[in-house]
Amino acid sequence: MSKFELYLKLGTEHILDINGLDHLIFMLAIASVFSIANWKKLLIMVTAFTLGHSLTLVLAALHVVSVNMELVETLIPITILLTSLVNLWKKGREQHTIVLYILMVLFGLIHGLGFSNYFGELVAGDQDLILALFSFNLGIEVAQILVVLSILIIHIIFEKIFSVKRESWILFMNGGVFFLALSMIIG
Amino acid sequence: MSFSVRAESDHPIHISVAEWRYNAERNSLECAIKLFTDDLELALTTRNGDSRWNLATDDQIPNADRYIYDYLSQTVRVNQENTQLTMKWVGAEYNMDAVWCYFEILQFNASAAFEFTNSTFLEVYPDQTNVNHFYVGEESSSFVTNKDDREKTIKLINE
Repeated sequence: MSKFELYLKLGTEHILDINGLDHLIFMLAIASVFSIANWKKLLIMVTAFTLGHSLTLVLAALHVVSVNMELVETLIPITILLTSLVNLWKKGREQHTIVLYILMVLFGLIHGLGFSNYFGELVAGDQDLILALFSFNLGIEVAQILVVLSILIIHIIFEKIFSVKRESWILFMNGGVFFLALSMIIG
Repeated sequence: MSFSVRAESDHPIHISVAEWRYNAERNSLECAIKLFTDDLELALTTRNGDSRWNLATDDQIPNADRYIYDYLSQTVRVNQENTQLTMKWVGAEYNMDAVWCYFEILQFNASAAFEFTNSTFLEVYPDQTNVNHFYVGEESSSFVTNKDDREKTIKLINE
């Protein structure tokens, strides 16, 4: 396969990795407060996260950042915990969109740091560095869109077929995410 | 402080990168394999039942090259026309995060198909992904080997 395909594949696998659930449960929390009618806002949220995430990967690939992994590995579940808490508190009520977008970029930066050393090693010395960065991050974006889309669909199913109220959905999803994030911080 | 790339990470993704380059002037296939140092130590321990490797430190075990060569010659192989080609050990560069290992195959026929196997670390990590980039001049193609697919058949130059 071409390098484009290779790094695209590795990017999607990075998000869909069953051994690294932090990305998935973060996307769960993010998507839980959106309905299909608000898909544009959700897409911007996801893309803002990818932007932040790719920025740290670029810096890592250029060996600009060196990371204290222990600190980052604590920060990542804290961002997830905070997201679920805000969701539980706001219960899906309108929030300041711009603030959310900026937060997503910031959280993307932090999550990217957790992967930056690995990514730096993966592409170190690769003569097609820009292609690698582009296709890897595109893979991340595609996988995240797939994840949030699946969550929106599951939400619709629960809403229409099982008549689950929106508030109950948000409570259920974010309650779960909260405890998962908490166990990541403690464990 | 010793620093391990993924020791505390929630993303213990296991990967190695091999760069294969056809050198037309020397008519050789050069191979540089990058292995994460902690993965390599684990594989050597599993194979040899010893754990005093201390790679990339002042206490590095003598003959580390030898142990690595013995290991990699089991996991990385190239066959052409039903013959296993000799991978000549060139050397290794030791860093805290990663070890680069260098091989070359002399008198390589680039216009004939060949099979390569890269099953490095699959015995210690079932989720290991080995990335193989093949370069001929500016052209490149990439192959992933993993537990489901350890071997590939390719041809570098079509005539």
